[in-house]
Amino acid sequence: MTKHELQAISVSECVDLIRTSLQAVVGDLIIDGEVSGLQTRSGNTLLFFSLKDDQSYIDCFMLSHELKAQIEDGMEVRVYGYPSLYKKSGKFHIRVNRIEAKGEGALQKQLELTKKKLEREGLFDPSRKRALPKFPRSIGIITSEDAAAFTDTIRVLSNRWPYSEAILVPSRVQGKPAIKNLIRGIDVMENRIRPDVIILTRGGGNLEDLQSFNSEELARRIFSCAIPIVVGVGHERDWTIADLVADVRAATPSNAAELVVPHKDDIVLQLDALVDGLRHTMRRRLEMVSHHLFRTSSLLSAHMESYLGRFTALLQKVSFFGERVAERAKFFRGRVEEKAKVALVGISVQVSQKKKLLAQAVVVLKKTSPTHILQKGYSITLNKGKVVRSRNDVKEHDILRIHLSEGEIESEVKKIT
Amino acid sequence: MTKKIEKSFAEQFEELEKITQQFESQEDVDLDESVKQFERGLEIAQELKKRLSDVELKVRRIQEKFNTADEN
Repeated sequence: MTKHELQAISVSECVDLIRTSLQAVVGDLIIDGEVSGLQTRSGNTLLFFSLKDDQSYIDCFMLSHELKAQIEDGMEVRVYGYPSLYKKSGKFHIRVNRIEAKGEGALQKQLELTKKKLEREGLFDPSRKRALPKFPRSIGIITSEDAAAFTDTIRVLSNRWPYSEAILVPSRVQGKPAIKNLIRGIDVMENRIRPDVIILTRGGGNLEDLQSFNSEELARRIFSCAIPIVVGVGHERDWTIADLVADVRAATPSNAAELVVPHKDDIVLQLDALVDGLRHTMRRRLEMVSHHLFRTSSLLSAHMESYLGRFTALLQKVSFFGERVAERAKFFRGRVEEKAKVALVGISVQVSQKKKLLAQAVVVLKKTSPTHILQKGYSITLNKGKVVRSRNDVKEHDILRIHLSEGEIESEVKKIT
Repeated sequence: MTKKIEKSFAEQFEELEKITQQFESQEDVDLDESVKQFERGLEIAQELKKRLSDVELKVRRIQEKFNTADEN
């Protein structure tokens, strides 16, 4: 190729040419570096940052929704992308389509950031957590079929409560496809199997092993699931994001199974206790009733006795009273007879006394009677029925009647002197 | 154990708990009614215990293509 063979092209053609060539020659890149100058534009939809090491830095660009985990300046990351030029400015950059935190420190940092973000959004809110059914008839298990986590879970379920059905939807729990697998497992459970409760579990591991259980995507799917989910991850770490968003958090796979079903022995004990309670209450109630009956009957018999006593006393009194009446009658009769006798005597004495008095009175009366005076020669003169005592009692020509000791005389007044 | 029976285990257990609670909290209750509740409680408890016989956990595996699919 010689200079004279070159043809002029436009700026935009130049940019296109270099971009295409870069992508053809260099292709996909995986770059490790430190994030710096992180900023978002166009209402948080575009993400710009630089990736640097101790000698160089390159501009990076990606769409915000492609970012699955939180990053910040200073974080060591692994970037997946390809080289490109901006169409407008022709500036070189890496078009990033995936970022992973790199190293335990960066992962830890990323985890903290994700946790903070989801916490702010209320995904860990205790009020959003649902209670588990006491006796689940079906239990969905999402885990790796070959893992110890699965056999542990099944063993505990069999020992404690073999009356449910355990339904496994196998899933990768580690590596790149794990997040999508786990989310798909929840989809299958929610849409097709519809168990009463879901156990999402895996054994322990380091922070990198547990990355899928710390993913924001899985956290959001657990949060949106209509069926309560128990998350049980091996206890090497304190927590995973999935633990925090779960309805119930278990320390291990076995612990998840323990939390999901009761132990049959405990239920037998509980049943016995309930029956004991029923018996106790029934006995108490019967005792109360019999006590009440006893009290009522003794009250009744007491009343009866009292009535009977009173009745008997009354009877006795009645009969005693009868005797008394007869006695008293007799007594009174005697008294009456006696009194009568005395009275009679008294009366006869009084009568004879009165007789005497009467005779005396008669004598006195006789002595003081006008007729007795008339016998001495006196007479009584009456004018029209009235005794004439003075000349004023008469007028001339009045006819006077004169009572004598024997007979009467009518006379006319001739002259008043 | 079928789903139906398992469901009724929860329901019956709840019923027994309810009966016991009611039974213990009520005072001045008719003796005939007491005896009825008591006998119903014992009956349910017996049925529940019968269900707790020795059985093996039923395990079902859902085989899905996505299990091994290496999706991004």
